[in-house]
This record gives sequence, structure tokens and C-alpha cells, in this order.
Amino acid sequence: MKDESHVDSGFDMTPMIDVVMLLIIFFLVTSQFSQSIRTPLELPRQDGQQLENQDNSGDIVVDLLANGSIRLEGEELSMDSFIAMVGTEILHGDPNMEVLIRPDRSGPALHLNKLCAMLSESGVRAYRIATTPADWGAQ
Amino acid sequence: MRFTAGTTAKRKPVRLPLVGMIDVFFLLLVYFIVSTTLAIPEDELSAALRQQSEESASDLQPQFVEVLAQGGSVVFKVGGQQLGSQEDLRELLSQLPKEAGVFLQVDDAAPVWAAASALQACHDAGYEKLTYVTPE
Repeated sequence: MKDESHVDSGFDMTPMIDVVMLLIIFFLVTSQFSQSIRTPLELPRQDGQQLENQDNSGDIVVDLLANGSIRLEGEELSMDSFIAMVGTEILHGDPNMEVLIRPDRSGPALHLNKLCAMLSESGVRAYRIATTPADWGAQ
Repeated sequence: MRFTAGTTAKRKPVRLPLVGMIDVFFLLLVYFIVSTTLAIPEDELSAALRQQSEESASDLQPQFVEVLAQGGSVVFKVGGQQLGSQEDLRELLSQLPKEAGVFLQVDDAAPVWAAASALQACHDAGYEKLTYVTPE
């Protein structure tokens, strides 16, 4: 006799796929948000260079505004306190740490030179400048 | 062989579960809309740091590029030559020996975009050792 009340025990993949896709999208969007936390700035319009095998996770990202003020993670701070923080990081953290400077393209190089000189004195051996690709948006 | 009429009648119609697919489709749509509006691409230009007072350990003399502000414009100076554009600077640098690298110094009065422009020209010309020299 055939069991009429037999329930198909096939594994339903749909909810699992939903959850997996949701997790993927969540992580992708949050990574995008973490980049977008960076303050909107008029960066120099250059195509940049291909940086190979670089782990930039420990680097400090700093905004350099046109008036010379410095912003770290959205908070404005003096150049001296920033340099002191970098010095501490080099001493107790990663000695090969680099600094990514996001400068306002219209500002004078005076502030960039001053920042670079102070970074060099505090032991930073290299820095990077953030740029916006030349063909991004209106020229 | 005998065909029974009941065989085809019992077969259930195939139903494609569209709900899950629509969910995924909309989520992907939202993701791409959000990511394209939020992510402003950023590139990077790297340079080593060095103060002008430091002595060079190498016998080779690196190229020395200066970025000067003259009036309302910017001039790139390499040796005795003054160049008015990034293209000219890249062209000239690509013809010079690259083993010793290049030093870049930017006038305080020059704009930041000019410093980035010179950095880009040095990288594009093929220099691997690029040092940003800060004025004393």
C-alpha cells in the first residue's frame, strides 16, 4: 500500500540562498559605507599608480583641508597632536606604517610640506596622496 | 501495452518558486544602486619622505624636480629647464636616467594639485624611487 500522506523531504534552498545573499550584501554595503565615511574632499585629479601587494589596513588616513587644518576620522585636531599620535603609533605599533594624506586640491602646498616635514621628523618614511581619477565626474 | 488515462491526470503542474528569486533580484538592485552612488573612487600616489638636510648615501645623482608658483601659474623645473605642463614634464623625465630616482620639491605657494601632478608625472615616466623633499 502506498503512503498517501508522505511528505516530500526535499531540502528547500530558497531561504538559505536569501540569507546568504543578505549577508553578502550586508558586508559589501558596510565596506562601501566604511569608505564613504571619508569626508568628501576635492582631491587632486590624477589617475594614481598601481600599488602592488600593499596591506594598508594599519595606515593612518588624514584629511588636509585647504586652510591647513587636519581631520582624522571626521574630527578636527591640531597638527601637533596628530604628529604626537603618529609618533606613538610608530613607537608602539607598526614602525613601517604609512600615512595616507587626503589633501584639498586647491590648498597651497605649504601645509602639505609642513605636514610631510613633521611626519618625516616623527619617523614616517613614506606617505601617499589620495587622488580622484581624472575622468571621474565633470572635469 | 496499455495506456491508462489516469497517469497524465495525476501529474502535478511544475511551479517555479519566484518569490525567492524576486527577493534576491531586488536586493541586488538595491545594492548596486547604493554602491554606485556612495563609492567615489580614490587612487593613490606614493612617495618616500626625506628632509633636504639629509645626505644622500648613493653616488648617483637623482633627478631634481621643482614645482614653482609663478604669478597665477605653475612651472615645473628640471635642471635648467622650465616646463609648463604635466605632459612636458613626463616627456622630459622619461628620457632621463632613472636608476637614482627622482627628488621632488614643491614651493610652499604652489597649489596641492600641482604637487600631485608632478608626482603623477614622475610615476608615469617610470621612476620607482620617488622622494618628496620638504623645504628647510
